[in-house]
Amino acid sequence: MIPALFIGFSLLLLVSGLMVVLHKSPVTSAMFLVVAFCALAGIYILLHAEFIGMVQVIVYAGAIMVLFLFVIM
Amino acid sequence: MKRLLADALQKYHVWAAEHPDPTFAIWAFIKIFIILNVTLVVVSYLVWAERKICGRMQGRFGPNRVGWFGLLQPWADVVKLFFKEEFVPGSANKVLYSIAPALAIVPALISFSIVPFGPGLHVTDLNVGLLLFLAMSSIGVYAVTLGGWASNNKYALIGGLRSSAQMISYELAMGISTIGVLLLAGSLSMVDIVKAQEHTWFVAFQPVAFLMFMITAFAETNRTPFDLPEAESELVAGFHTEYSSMKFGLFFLGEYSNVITICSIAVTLFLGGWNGPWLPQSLKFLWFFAKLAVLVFVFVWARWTLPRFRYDQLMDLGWKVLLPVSIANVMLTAVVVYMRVPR
Repeated sequence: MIPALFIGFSLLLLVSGLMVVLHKSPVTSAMFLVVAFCALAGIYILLHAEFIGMVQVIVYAGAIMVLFLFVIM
Repeated sequence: MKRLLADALQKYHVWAAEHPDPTFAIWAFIKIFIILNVTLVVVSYLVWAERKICGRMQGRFGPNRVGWFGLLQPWADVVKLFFKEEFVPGSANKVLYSIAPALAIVPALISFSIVPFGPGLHVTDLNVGLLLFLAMSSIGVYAVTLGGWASNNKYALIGGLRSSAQMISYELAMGISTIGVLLLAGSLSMVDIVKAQEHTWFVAFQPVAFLMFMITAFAETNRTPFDLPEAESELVAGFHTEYSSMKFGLFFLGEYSNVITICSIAVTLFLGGWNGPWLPQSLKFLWFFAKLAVLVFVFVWARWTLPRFRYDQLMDLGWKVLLPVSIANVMLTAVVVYMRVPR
């Protein structure tokens, strides 16, 4: 089960990371970056680093990306 | 009959021992299903309660036509919302416009997975439970921001921007006000925090933090006196101006499930969770729901009593009052805990 989850999160991370670079609209790119951060948090949690995983979501996905969105809009 | 049941149980135990992963998944699914449905029913009756209380406060009766005391009103509302026309503005960003309502309700529902309703009555006992709640409340900002931006309407955009500014400012004070509790409990797991309050509720040691938490909770859920994102007297309806039908319904449900989530977290952190006298262990969850009802009533009461803040007052309160006071509270708690721990 864990290898399957790892492959799923990694694929999500790769695809959303690529979409951040390739997508035309900046707001959509920012949202894909949020997805990438969440997938990364998932990988951290699979590695039993729950604290870093949650802080990844709080700090990067929650705080920094909202500031990014604020500027882009 | 009894032997048949015992046989089936025996077979189940053998199967469960051989397949731990599917067993875990099935049990988690059952728990999620039950808690999700209970939550949604409670949320729809919160809307009914709010309308009833608001009516009483304004000298009216509130909904009393559908069912006994208007008790079937939530069902009528939902049916009405489902049959409304689904309107999408032509210039809207279609994808983000449809994702935003879902983002409003999903984080609130995920947060329920860590709330211990009673002894053993929780979906999961994460060792980073409280952080999951903070993470989900910070993800919740996107719903309002994206909903406002994607509708391509100036009022919606202003509402969305206001709400993101407000939520970032108050999230900080909210996170810091919970640290005092963490210092006292010595754990991030919600079950451990409840167990640490067996003798004294943390509100006795952390009255300032409790006050801070409740004030920021009002701001996080966009309720009066902090409802600038939807300020209907100046912004039409704020970020959900362009939403109709069940998409609006999801924003609406999201707001109310956020209220319930944040109140259950406040009960768990400060008011002792399911701890209480008299009741046997299996009925302790009634204490949880009693405390939850009191806090939710305070939310409704404040909404129909207080006027709205001005935007600069809101920012002043967040950055110049709540944040310094909660940091001072954390430092004081840390010093006291450090002095009292025997070495």
